[in-house]
Amino acid sequence: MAANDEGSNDGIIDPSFFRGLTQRRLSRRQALTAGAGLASSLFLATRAGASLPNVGVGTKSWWARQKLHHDVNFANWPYYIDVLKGKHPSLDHFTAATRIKVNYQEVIQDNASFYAKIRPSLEAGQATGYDIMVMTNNNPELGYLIELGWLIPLDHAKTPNFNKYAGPLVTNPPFDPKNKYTMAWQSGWTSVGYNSKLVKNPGDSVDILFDKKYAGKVGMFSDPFELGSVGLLALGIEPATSTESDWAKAAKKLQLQKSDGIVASYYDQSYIQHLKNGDIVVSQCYSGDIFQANLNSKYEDLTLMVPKEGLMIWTDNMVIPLHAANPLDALTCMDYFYSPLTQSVVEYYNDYICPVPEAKQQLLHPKGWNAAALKALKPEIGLPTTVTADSLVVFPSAARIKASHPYYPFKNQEEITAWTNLFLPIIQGA
Amino acid sequence: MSIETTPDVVAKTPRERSFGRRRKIGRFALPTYSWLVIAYLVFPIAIMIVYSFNRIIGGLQLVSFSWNGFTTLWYQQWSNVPGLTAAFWLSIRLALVSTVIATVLGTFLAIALVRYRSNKFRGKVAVEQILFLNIAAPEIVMGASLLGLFVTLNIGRGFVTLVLAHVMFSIAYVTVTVRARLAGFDRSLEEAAYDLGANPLATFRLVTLPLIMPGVLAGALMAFALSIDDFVTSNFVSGSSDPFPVWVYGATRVGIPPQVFVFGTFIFMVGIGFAFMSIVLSRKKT
Amino acid sequence: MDESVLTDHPGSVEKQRHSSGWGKKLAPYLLSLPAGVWLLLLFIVPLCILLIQSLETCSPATGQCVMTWSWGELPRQVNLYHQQFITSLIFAAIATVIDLVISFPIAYWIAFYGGRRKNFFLIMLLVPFFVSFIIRTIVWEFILSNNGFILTFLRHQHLVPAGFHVLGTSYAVIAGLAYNYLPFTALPLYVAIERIDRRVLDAAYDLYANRREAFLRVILPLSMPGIFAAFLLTFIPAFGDYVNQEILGGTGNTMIGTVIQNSFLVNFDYAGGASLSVVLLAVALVGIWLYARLLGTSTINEYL
Repeated sequence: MAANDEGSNDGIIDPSFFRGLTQRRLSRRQALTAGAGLASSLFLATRAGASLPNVGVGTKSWWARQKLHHDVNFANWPYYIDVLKGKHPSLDHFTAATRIKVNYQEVIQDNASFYAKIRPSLEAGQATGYDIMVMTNNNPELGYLIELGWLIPLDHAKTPNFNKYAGPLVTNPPFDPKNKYTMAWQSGWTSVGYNSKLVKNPGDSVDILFDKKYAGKVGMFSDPFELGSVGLLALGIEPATSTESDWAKAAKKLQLQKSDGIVASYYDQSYIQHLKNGDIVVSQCYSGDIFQANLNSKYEDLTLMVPKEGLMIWTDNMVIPLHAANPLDALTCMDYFYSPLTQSVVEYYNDYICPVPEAKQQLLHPKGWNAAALKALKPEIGLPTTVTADSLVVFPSAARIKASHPYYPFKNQEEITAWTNLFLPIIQGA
Repeated sequence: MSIETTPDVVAKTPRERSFGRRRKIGRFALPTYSWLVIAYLVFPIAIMIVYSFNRIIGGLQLVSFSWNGFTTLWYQQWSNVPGLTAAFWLSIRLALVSTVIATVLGTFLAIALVRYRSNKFRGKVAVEQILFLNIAAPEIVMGASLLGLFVTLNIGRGFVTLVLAHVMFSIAYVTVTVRARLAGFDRSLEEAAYDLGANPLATFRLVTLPLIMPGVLAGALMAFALSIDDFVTSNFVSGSSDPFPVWVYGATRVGIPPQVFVFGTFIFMVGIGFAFMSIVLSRKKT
Repeated sequence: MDESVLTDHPGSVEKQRHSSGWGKKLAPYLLSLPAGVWLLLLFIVPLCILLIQSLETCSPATGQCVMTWSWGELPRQVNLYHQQFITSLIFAAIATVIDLVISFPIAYWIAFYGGRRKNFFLIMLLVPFFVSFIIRTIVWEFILSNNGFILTFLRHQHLVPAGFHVLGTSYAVIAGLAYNYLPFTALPLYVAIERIDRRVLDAAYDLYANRREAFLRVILPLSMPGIFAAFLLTFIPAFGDYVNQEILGGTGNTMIGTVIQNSFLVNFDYAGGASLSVVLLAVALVGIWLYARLLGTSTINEYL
């Protein structure tokens, strides 16, 4: 995998992360005063000895003490799990098999706003109310959670399905070595989507996003991490190893794209509405959105491009926040979703990148409870399971995965700030 | 000034004399224009109501703006989207609680402002300035400042913080509405009550309150409307559960379920109900 | 106020003297205490905290802020986003003027010709705004979209060029602002016009003024304070609005409200967002101060 292995680093973002926070803003004079000392201690840890709040939590002995409470609060993104007439077959089977009730809430609309909601509780050392949350790795919030010690480390002795069935894409990811805190829910690609009826010769390059032919009808993402990454790709630069001067070059290109009037607007996930409406004809897109749109015959013309520059690959990860009320139930639930039978049902609905390669076989030849569920879902989804099983965006080849680009791994807050300072003015600039 | 009379018009005032035929056309211009404006205001609401009856085919159950046929399915399945229904009831509860509190507080403040001149009420001018500032202040500033307050004091955001915020921006509107009604209030009735031996509390309950009730109700209606529609401030201070407008805003990314239009239609109908009630009440008042 | 009541009941004067005392003295303060405290703690104090926050340094990850007396933050933010301030200013001003022009006739009509059904018309004016303005704006987004029925119709009739689009332009944003803030203009205007003494108007007609003169020389000047109030009450909120631009706008017409919202809720740049909010607030205060200077403090609140 074209991963950015930091090698001996514990994590991508190391503890000097937060020391860096104060240095950029304070002047030298201020840094010498007592105030700076106060500031840095506030960021590093107000807890004694600079230890993180999750010390002692998540160890083998800690997990051994946990008991099942038969309840789990699962926060996820919308339209990310199988649904049949208002119920979720995968969750229903889980409850039937384990007697654990799942309170599934689709409350996550984006990483930043969800993080803003849970942060006050975590700051105050209180429970967030969620046992499982799903955070994406291409926004800083997952990194904040890990570095601030607000996640419970997982005990993989209790995740047999994960150990056996998790695919290479989601095992030992660079942003969370050895899956200490995360288990992927789904992965996905950020690529280019276009309306094949209105875009006659799309070609196979991200340059189509910068093509003056489609001026005023191009959609770009308002997420600065997505925007900057595609800018780097368009310049032929590998995002994961790019430098700040590379970022400046990408920013220049994107600014030019904007001032040439090519961009209609910078969208969040609502780009898919405008692509469907015809307000835009080509856009940055998420792989699963196009697949889901194609299920409606009216939007069959929407096509996902696999550019020669490659696709950006991201992962939505299940994590257990600190002070969760039902950690063992959470871990059990998370592992349940690594059973190929479960994934086949979820994937049939989802059509993002499946973390369990063996689910492909289960889609084609279901060998258990999933057979009935898949059959029941078919009329809702309208396509046979073979379409999902054979889809290269759901079960990509190893080569395709290797050719995918991970996002730049930020080493500290200064780098994050430098990146956003370059790309935010393009998005929200006049 | 000579007064002419023409055979076909009786008792014409000088004003009517000046305009003659032009006035007849002018008579229709204003009402027509006004109804056009009201129609323009109602236009998107009408579209919303129409599309709440739209069928949705294939894929996700999201509002489709191309007409697919008539159905009342969404009205039958109005509670099918769990987050949305919870958000709606939260907004209703929030609006009711904050309206009650804001109306009580605002009414008392209005009485204080009308009854007492500056020499008996030190700081009256300052209060009036604050009220105007509150009404005029951009919502985003109020929302951001409240967020700053709650973060600084480490107060967890939730229903209580929402109520605190909603009452805060409603008080001024209630005060202003009640005060408008109070200003024309005839104090002699209260004097009469005192003369007949009533103490201030009884006077308030039996004389003042019933007479200013229309103003109080108008203020309450204003506060309710403000609360149930509030987005910006709620977006900043809502905790794990979102009020209705915040939920809808979040859902616009992927698409809104048709039940959103069902709820919107319901709220609109309630408002129309208030409008018609006011006709009934005003007829009774003659 | 009927003076005769007092003179008819001389005893009432004595009664008032008996009941005066602490209770009566404290009455205004007691009555205004709950509301006053609420506003103080939840309106004034947070604004002060906002001012302070603009001088602090905050960590995006933890949200913790430390006072570092960063006076430079405010100028830096203004420098970065001055274009958005100007955009917001222009959009809000145009939308307000549009609203004033639209609202004046209807406010006039309701005030002068509404009769007993005044309340009904006022509520009809308000009722569309019961429905969440997010929903209203989304529906406008659909109405104005390229393949919506209006634009398709206009294109078929060749009234507009083939590539014409409204969504994403500044016009769409201004139209949205004008629509959503109409009641903020209409209601103060209505109050102002309603107060005009009919007898003054009748006197003008008696003096052979025609319609135009009566309007320009009687109605307009008398409603001027109301117009100014309506302007303020529409302009200031529109200035800080961002939802209209986010839904109806495109690139190049970002308003300052979007930047502030992003600063607080997406980038967790609390100091930057606070600085921008302070500037926004300053604009509001300047407007109110101007009003007080030109028209006197006592009249401010009459038109609310």
